[in-house]
Amino acid sequence: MNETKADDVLLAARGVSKDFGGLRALNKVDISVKRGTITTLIGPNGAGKTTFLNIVSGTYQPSEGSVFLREKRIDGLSRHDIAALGIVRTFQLTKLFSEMTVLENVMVGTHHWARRGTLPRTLVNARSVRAEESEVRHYALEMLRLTDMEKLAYKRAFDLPHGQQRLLELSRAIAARPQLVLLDEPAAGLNPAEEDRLQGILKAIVARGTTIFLIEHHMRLVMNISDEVHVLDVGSKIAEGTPKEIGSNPAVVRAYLGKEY
Amino acid sequence: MRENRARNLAILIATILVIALPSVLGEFYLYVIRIIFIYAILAIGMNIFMGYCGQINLGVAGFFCIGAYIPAILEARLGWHYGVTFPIGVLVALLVAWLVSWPLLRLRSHSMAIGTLAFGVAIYLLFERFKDITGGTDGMVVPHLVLFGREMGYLFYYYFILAFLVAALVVEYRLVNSRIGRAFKAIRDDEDAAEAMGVDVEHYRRMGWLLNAGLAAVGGALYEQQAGFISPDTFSIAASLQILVMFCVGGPATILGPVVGSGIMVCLPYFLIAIQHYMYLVQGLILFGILRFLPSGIVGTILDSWPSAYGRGGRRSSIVPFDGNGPGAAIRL
Repeated sequence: MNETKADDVLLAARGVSKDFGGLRALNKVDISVKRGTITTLIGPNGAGKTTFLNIVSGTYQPSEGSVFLREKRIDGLSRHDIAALGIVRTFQLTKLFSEMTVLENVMVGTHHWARRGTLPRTLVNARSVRAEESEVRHYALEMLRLTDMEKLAYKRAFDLPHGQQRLLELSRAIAARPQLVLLDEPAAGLNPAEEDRLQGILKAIVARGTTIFLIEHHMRLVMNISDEVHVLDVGSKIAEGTPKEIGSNPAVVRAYLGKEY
Repeated sequence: MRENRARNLAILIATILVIALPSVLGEFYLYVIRIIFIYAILAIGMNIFMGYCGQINLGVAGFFCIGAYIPAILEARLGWHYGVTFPIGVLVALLVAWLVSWPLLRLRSHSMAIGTLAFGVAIYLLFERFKDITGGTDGMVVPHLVLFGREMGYLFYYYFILAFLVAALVVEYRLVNSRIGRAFKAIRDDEDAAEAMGVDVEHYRRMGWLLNAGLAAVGGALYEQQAGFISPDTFSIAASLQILVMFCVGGPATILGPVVGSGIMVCLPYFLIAIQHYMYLVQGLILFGILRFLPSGIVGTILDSWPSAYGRGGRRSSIVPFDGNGPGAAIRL
């Protein structure tokens, strides 16, 4: 398993640093994510995890270093271009389209690949547009089935309880048919039962061929599902490895996990 | 299915009504209805840009003004035919909209409100001050349209404007229930999330802005012809605010809201004219009452309280079940 071919690496961040004024939030971080895996980024609060995710998704530009999706350099691209290349994210505090229905939310996820609905074609209600609308709708319903939310399809997103909102955000992200989903603490605020369900859904997503990169604090979830774990502390990467290696790494235990691991 | 049939019935009745109206009503009432239709077209543009796309435009009268004055000038000063001047007016408005979109659409919320307001005032002043061409505050007379050697009367204008209103409603309806409409609503609800899902926010904001401007210019071109006379007052800040209020009163982000709002706002002064000086006071109170107690507008409030298979929430958004998969088709009108 140490023999990784170059084409197995989906995302590679090389020497990424980020300065906010005089504060160095990230310091020469190298992280690579292999295709078809679940890779987790952990670390104490303020370690720079979300900053890293913001750089990959194009919200921030790195001060140094570069980010590659396969061979393509993606730092410097706009957020929607990065999304169109196949990197889609969720947010630490859920950001849903709250006035739209659950189904519509997921349909927005298909925006970048279902592109036939241009303005002229939409205005004349062209056959190709109608066909695509129906395709998109069925696809969105399929995504909702995956997260077991089909029954809620016509509810307003705003009216959902927190746990369902998290799942909806996830459904919306995977409706984009991404190569890589970035999840910022998907289990935050979930109860244990919901967390177990999330675990099953994440595994189902990987089984569909999507790679997952997530930030998470719930160590039980991290240890259960991760293929690889990276650890950040005050902006620098201090360890990487399998969950088992990380759990017994003294530096990680000191910085983040505490004695119980 | 039941909702579908009710909808078709409503559309049928409305169609018969608007076609038959001229044989029942006199010239004055048809004039009022014409004005309602024109403002409804303007309010539909506002609804797309503000109600669905969630942006702010306090300068819509600027495009209304361009759309009215450019054809009027070409007709009155150069004698060009309305059939040519109408599209020219709309194209000029779109060009201006596209040019000013680069500075104006960089703005958000409050600064966008001020920026668009300033734009509206600037356009108004431009047409008011070029007295030699536009007649300034005295206004200018526009020759009536001549088709096949005959001068067109009020019946022609009624149906002509009605056709454009129907077209505007179709544009609005198709847009709202499409990929573009979803992008608009996504931008309105959360710009960051929209970007993260691959929606090019700037592209769609510009599209909404151009649609807003285009529909306003169409309204302008319809207005100047049917009125036969235009003066700058019609296109002042007050007009921008009037159109804004129409779309708020009718119901933001509802298909029929702009029409209802326009109907109320155009008719209200006629009902209140008996109380003369107190008219504006009462008008203000009524509007305040609607905006305060019915924040989703008249149409929005009716839809919210309508018993629906999908609960209150299902009606809030424009998409509802369709075809064999859903529990039946319904449209948010």
